[in-house]
Amino acid sequence: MLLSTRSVFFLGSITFVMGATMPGGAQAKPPDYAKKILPLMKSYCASCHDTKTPPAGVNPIQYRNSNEVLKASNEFERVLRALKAGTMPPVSAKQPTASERKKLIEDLEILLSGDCKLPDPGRVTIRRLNRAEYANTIRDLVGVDFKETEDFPSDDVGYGFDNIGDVLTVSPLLLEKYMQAAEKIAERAIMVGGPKPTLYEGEDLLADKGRTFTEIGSGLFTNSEVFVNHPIDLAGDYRLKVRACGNQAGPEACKMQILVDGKVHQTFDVPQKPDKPTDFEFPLLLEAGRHRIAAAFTNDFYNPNDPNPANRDRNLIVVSIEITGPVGTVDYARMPESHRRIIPAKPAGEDELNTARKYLTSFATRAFRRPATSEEVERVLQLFKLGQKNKESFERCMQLGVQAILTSPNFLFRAESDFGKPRDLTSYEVASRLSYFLWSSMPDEELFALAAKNQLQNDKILEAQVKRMIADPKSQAFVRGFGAQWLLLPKFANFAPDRKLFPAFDSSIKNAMRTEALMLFGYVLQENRSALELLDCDYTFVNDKLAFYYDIPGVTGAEFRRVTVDRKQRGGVITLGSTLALTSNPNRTSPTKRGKYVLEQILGTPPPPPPPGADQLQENVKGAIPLSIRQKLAEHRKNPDCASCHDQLDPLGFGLENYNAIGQWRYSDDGGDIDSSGVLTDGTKFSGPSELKGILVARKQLFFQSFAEKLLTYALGRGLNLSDNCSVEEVTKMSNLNESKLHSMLTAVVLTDAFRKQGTLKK
Amino acid sequence: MINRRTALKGIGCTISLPLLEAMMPLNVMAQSVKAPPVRMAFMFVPNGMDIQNWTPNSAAGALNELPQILKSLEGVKSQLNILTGLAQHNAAALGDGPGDHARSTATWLTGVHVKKTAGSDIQCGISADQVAAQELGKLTRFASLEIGCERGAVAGDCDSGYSCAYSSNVSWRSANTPNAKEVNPRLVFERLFGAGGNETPEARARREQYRVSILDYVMEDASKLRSQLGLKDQQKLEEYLAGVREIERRLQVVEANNIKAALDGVVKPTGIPADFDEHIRLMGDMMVLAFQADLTRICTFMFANDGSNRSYAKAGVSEGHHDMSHHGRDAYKMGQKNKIDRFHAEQLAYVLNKMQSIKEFDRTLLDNSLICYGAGISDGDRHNHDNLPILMAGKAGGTLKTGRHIVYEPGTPMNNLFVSMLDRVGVKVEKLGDSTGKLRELF
Repeated sequence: MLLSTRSVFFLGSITFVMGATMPGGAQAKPPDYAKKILPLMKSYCASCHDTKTPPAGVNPIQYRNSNEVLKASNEFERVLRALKAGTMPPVSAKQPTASERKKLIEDLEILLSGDCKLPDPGRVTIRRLNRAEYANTIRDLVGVDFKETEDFPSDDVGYGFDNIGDVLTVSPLLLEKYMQAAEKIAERAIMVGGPKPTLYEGEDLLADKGRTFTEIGSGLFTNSEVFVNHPIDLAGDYRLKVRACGNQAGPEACKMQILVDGKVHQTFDVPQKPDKPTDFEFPLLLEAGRHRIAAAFTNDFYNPNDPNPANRDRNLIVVSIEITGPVGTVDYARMPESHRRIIPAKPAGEDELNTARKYLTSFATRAFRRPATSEEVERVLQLFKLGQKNKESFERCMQLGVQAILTSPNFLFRAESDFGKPRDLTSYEVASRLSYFLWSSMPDEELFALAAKNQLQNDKILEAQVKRMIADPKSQAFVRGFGAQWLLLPKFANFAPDRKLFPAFDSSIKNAMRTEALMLFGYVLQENRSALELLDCDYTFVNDKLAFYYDIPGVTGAEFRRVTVDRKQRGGVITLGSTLALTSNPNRTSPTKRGKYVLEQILGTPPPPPPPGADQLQENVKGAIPLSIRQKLAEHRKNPDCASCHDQLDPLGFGLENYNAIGQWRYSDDGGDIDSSGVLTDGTKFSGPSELKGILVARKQLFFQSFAEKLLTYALGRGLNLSDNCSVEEVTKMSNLNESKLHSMLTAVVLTDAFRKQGTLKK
Repeated sequence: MINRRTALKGIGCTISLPLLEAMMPLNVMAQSVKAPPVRMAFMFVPNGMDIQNWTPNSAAGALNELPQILKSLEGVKSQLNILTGLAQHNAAALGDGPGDHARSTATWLTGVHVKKTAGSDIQCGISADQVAAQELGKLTRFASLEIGCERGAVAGDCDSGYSCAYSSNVSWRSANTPNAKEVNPRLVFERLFGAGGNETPEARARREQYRVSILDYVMEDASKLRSQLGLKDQQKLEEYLAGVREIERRLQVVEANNIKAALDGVVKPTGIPADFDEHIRLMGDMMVLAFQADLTRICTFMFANDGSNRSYAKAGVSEGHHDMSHHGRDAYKMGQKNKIDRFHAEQLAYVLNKMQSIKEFDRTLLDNSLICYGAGISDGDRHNHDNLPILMAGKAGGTLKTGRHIVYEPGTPMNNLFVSMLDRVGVKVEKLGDSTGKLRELF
């Protein structure tokens, strides 16, 4: 979390939110440490800290001037954090006045932020591709749809995002997955020799319902089917092989229908033979594209009363579906695109090694996202030569080269050299930063072309590229990457309410809520709306089920669409079903968690975590008079230790009490009618979600700053520190101009020094 | 490029053996008839335990009656030791505030007080299993196996400011590298035994040859890249290289295992079963298979991540585990928590019974194992880390006296147990985490 010019809580801190920057954007002059800061430190800290072995190893008094302070900036960041959290000086010691504390925080921040004219861009640690980036990059680089990244270990998360270089680790397990993936992708991309069988078994076989895994395979115990969606790159003759066995019972044999794209193609009688299931093989003519090939059980029989147990139940068990082809010779022009992309033409007559050198140079250059050096290519060619030595075909040798490149750290990591001092990024490096920021993938041809001409240093061109990239459908990755994580949708995925209390909430509602959240974010992005519409707007996105669930009338049909809503009830992220649910307990709402969400995700002023041993609220006991959450929290706040935080948290959550734990509107709960009013610590009174949203919009400076911090964290792939204050301020400033349109904020991020420069590791 | 390892080719031949011996891992036979290797496993359950019903009623001494939670282990009672009084002192807040679930998970096998951070600077310590893996791992194809039933969590910080890396990993290769775990039994199987298919031995040998050459290639690439990078980048690249070396070593280990015998009658798992008990058992099967075939001797197995809030339909618990563990002395919730604890013990019983049924000469696989089962939190409501629920199973190759309830001085470091366990498998360490020596009385 960035230490910014804010106290831990947002109320009452508005006055100095722009502390580091004067109105109009000019930077405040750094204060003189010796004159302005040191005297205060001396009177409030020295009595404990000015010793040789100070508490917590912190002695700010020993530094006498601004230069010394800047050298010890790590120590002062801790001082600042303690001052802001109010943990220092301890209650037992002499306390600074509120205005002294405020001044101290303000001055220290300006001092520590450094000079915005000589910015320190910070050092971004080498980033390995996370799962989404890997799959997208393979899609764009090779043209292969690689779904197995789902089997990779989860990506480590830091600072709220899963693309942080420092945090992403490489375990031997992951490396093993990378190696296998490279092998599979190379084999899928390049066609070698004759047709290759594709085998689907186990969970490769898909099923909508009715499938039970048995020891042998997919058991179909009622009339139902298993299927595969098989991609065909080349039209032609294929061979299909379905392996199955049946449990026999009743008058007829177990029947299996083969359906291709929904049409019955063949029907077979399936013998019992569980030890040696039968293979059913037949030819099939397939056009290019995805085909749904299904094996269906059509004559279920069940008679539990039959005296012979072996004659009671008829079932079909499908072991595997295998597709081989195309059979026969293939016209080169009809080879899959992935193949032709790597091997534009089969070498005829000329030296195969030279051809390979040319092709692999071009592939490695795209894979490494910068020109591959001839030395690097020669190393890759060793693999090609090894294949040649083993008398492999040209295509097989090329597969080995591709496999090697896809295992190289130059592909798996995005590395930016450390020159020992801050520097501008090269155009290629900027191209990658842009593409992974907005697309979670590699640069496209246009970005590469601009990089080759070294034009990605130009503000105007960068601006145009941001616009173009957002318009590209690939920017959906930004919605699913940044948007989803900002909205805490990964956390929402784990939300499981008590089914007995909330039967209306099921997986289809959960998916619909996720879609609603992503569509809201996607809409504000694509339509270039004001970021404030994320906080308050009069529309949301629903299909018929979710509309019914929310009690929004007049929506029919399963497709999602934008609907106008009463802003007193819906519209904006804090009234999204996903937000309301993920901030609830499984059995009830939690105004405290909802308040925390607002402070943390929206305003960027998180409360400190609860102290050890903090009490849990007691659940209502049968027979006793039930208490509302509001009443229980009022009890909790009688303890002054609790009140200091809960006075800030709970009122915000009370404003959302009209939503139950699964995000539906309600008028009453255990304690009677809902009271959705709240009083903030500065005395502001409000009632209900729409007034709460109004309060958030009124505090838009905090929101912009918090949003800017999160955007920068995601864009840079690192946590922010004090020296990033200048960049945050630039983005915040841009939000205030230009009607806070989202494109301007994203452009502002791209134009910051932090984004365009690379620093060096500070000791 | 294929120089130093060309000698590796030509492996994969099968050797016919008399039936009884064919059931033995060859590595085991090659060593010494009298001393098959000791396998070591650490099995973790989340959210503490109903400690009242876990602790035996009898004082220290012979384990007469099993406590209520462990009743299902009756069949292997003579193989058990229940240890009372051990503590992971460093799992406590010590001024760092809340976050016990994450903290105690990372502390469980390390004994280290982890750094509170949700970001870049995770700082834990090497875990006991990895200390063993550094030594014993050289002898098997996989240095160690990390499995579980829940993926690492993915949302933000996982527990009051602690990184998800802490709450989802008990196994740590080094202070800042957790060992990711595999949760899909099919993928574990394919990792251990290959994806199957119709590959000929020649084709397979050639594929491995290419893999080895690619490792050589990426190693050169990485060292070139490293010279251009800063310090932190180099650390990341070092993680990558450690992985490369591990896989390279694996390709070098001669496959002398009698994998075929271990796999006799075994059906390849098809995926993650819908029922949680099936899932745990199937993962347990994978661990047992790996031990039996001597593909590894060290395993960590997390039934679930700490803080897990899954429900246990099969045990009659529709509420979330974490919610029930914060029972606040509520009788109903305590009952639900107890059901979950018993459910976990039943799955453990399945695994131990299976190990007991596998013969290795005159002993069983369980006799030749050293298994530690338990939690990093004692009472899920209090979040205390003293008096941890710890159960040992297996006789460590006949060198460990079992069937006892051993009571230690309150606060005895759990890491003393690890030092003793490591000593028993031939790995001498002076100190690990906060250990103060070996555990008295156990061995």
